[in-house]
Amino acid sequence: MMFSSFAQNDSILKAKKEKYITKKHWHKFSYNSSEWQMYLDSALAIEPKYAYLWQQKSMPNFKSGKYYDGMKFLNKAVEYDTLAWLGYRGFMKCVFMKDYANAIIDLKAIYKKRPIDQTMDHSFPFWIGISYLKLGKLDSADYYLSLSVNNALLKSKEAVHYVDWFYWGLTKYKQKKYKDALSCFENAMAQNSHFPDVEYYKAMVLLQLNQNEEAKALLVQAKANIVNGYRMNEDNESYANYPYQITTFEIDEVLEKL
Amino acid sequence: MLKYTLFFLTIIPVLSFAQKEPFKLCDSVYVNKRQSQYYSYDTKYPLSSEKLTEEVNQTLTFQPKQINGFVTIRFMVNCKGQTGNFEIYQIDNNYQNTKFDEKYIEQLLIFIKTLDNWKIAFYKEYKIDYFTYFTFKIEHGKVTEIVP
Repeated sequence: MMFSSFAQNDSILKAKKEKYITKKHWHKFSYNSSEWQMYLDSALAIEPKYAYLWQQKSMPNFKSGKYYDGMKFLNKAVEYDTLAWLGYRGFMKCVFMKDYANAIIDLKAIYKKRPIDQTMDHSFPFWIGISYLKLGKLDSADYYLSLSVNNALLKSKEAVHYVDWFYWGLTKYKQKKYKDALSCFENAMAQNSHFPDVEYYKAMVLLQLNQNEEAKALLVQAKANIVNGYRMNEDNESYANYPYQITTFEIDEVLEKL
Repeated sequence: MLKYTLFFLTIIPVLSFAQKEPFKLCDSVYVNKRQSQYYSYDTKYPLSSEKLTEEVNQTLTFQPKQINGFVTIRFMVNCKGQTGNFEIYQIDNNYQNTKFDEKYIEQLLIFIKTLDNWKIAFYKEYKIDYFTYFTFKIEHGKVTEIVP
């Protein structure tokens, strides 16, 4: 009798797991809905240490600027599966909160544990590098962005992401190493010919080198690209501006002076 | 338990000068399902985060050194490009709920109210209302970053 009862309970639990977890029942609803959170709570009642479920609870909060809840849930994900979610938390601090100093702490920690892995299409040194860039620590930015690029170059030139080239070039520009900056920007443009941000900053370098006509043409091209819907081609760009990402306002501001 | 503080602009008369007509939602498509978000309609405010940060700091006359953390002001942009229904969330540098000086928060609200170039969101040919937000990262009373 008791054995039969255990078997029945096991069967019910399996059915609940199948419904709430395996089939991701919460995905039937908008992630901004109360149902999304409610069905994740149901799933967590069954698997309270399943890190992915905590990340799923955190994500809509970050996309709404509700960082208290977002971070509370994401910390749970990191607690239950550090290797899987620490780098992601560093990314969220970097892009969704612009909290660069704290992002660097997470990203350096995960880089030690997973040196050849990446998050959101970029290496951990890339995210560390752009965080340092925003903090104005240009030597550190240069070190980590060069690391990201050079590690990829070990595979092939095509393996280097054009956004890596862009931010390394931007670092060189801010270091006033204009020749190096141009080289990086040209590598980025060779891979992506509709990249308004790189066109804008290449124009800034050309202005420093008194090549005003070429700069002006690039600015006009950058503006046309934005008007035609081209952006920094990053998955999360629709949620948050990337560091030093420009708009037509910045382009017009420079064009008016030329 | 006070998890976060909500301010509705309608109860802060000092801010009413910035918008001539009262804020009204005017979405005719999602009337009963107001969940449209800025990121689904490519309607981030059309200025870079760096430029917005520069501009907000020019407007702050009250910058107490002890203010450190994040202030998120979440609000709606209606089909006319007007802003309203403001909610405020405040956390410290350890990401814990806190409450900063209301006078400081009011300055951030006024800054948002002065922005007048909000994009209109379209669903097919219909203009719709949408949620958006600004998060101000603050160090010693100075805004150092704005999200998104």
